[in-house]
Amino acid sequence: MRLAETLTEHGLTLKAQRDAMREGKILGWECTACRHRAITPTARCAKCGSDKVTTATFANDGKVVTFTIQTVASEQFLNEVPFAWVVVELDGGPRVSGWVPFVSRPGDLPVGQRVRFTPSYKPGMMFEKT
Amino acid sequence: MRKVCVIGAASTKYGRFDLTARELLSDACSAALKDSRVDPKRIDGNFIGNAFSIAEKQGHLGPLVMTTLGIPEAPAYTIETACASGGSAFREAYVNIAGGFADVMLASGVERVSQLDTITATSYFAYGSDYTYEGGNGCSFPGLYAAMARTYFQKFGATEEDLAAIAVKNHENGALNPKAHIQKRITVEDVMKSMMVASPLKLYDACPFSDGAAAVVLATEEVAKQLGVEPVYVMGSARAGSIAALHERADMASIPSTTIAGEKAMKQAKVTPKDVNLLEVHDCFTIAEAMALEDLGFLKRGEGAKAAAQGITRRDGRIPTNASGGLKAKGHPVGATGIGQIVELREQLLGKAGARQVKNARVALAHNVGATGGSCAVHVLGV
Repeated sequence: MRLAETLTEHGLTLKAQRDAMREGKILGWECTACRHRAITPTARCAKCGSDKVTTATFANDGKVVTFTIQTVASEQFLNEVPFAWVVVELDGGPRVSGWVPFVSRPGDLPVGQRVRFTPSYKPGMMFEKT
Repeated sequence: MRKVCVIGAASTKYGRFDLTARELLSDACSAALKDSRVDPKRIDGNFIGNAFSIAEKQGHLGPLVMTTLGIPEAPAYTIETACASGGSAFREAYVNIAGGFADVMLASGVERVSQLDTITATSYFAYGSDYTYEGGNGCSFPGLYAAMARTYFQKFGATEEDLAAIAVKNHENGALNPKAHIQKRITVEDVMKSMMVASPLKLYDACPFSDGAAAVVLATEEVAKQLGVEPVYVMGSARAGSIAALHERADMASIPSTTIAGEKAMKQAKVTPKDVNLLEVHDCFTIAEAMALEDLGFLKRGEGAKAAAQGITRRDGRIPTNASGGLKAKGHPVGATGIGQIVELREQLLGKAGARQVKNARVALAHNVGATGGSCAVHVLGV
């Protein structure tokens, strides 16, 4: 079954993805037919439908595409507010979501701001301005 | 396919109640059955929209409600597509009758969340996103729509004041709706001064967490005739999906599933936007109403945000939108919301909407979104 092949035979379970992030590496999926990349589990490409999907290492640097400042957060991030939740376009793709600590005003994080993925003991994918 | 109509409808008031989901849902279903005049023994089943019943330590709501209604033998199903659960439940009931597998169905929805504190409720709503990649990175549910709003602002130059006018318009309508959670008029200034929840969205850009239930009875045209009730026809019904995670979509200022479901439902109904006299759209946040009107093809890209300020979407405007008050003021009892839209549109189409009646209501459209559009249901109703 394709899903099992993609997720386990290539070694990329969600746990493996998370473990790699702890070591500063962003792993995800890439369609070899149309080169569409995704950070979310992919058995068939969400863009072209091809099942020729492989795993790939993505760049740690990118730029902010959009963001919000979270002043009310869920349990896991209660002690982090205020912070910015960001959508980052990694260099070479794909777009991923993450967060930037200590941002309290929209002016502190203009769209287009360069950021870098920074492994941390905190939850989720943390980015810092570069 | 057989013609299907709505022959009965009812809703509880939306708000905060010391009642369980079981009680709220039973009330709504019981009242809808009475309204339809159908013998409850003829009910072939009940599709129930619900997302968070487990928060009350109760799963498997169906049999509880059917037992309360005195028809424990009738099958019931919980349908969960986040905030689109109600619209999806309606669709499944419709499909069963249109396809000839049932003659009379209940479609209903319920939510009870007011017992949860704000942090817990915020977490529950975030579970409707792609939690691993969105909520797990700190995004709250308002945060996702805030990201859409910022993208929209950048693309089209719209402002926070434009969105505030949408809230003002929907509160004006909600003030005329005795079932609405918030029956209070507000001003643009009130919205602008309200607490920032997830910039650029403020508290008054957001719908409230509501408790409530709604139910409708669907049946074949033949049953409607037998009972002598005035039918409201389901002219079009469609569901669609989008990539769950917002950041993976090519455009974050629109919801693809809305466009797909809207086109399908209107095609089946043989109508175009200019034939539709009024809409209930999924305005969980003000920005969502702006995007919905564009995604459904009622307005050009970039025009949605300014439509309320320009009077286009008022009850007496060219495209009356959310005459009920919408999710924004009427309230958002998640699983009930999509069914509540049908209840409202039926009243409007039968000319029974009182002070908020839209003139010449013959064809109406209901648009119900799950999370940021991972799920969408669109229905076209007519008399």
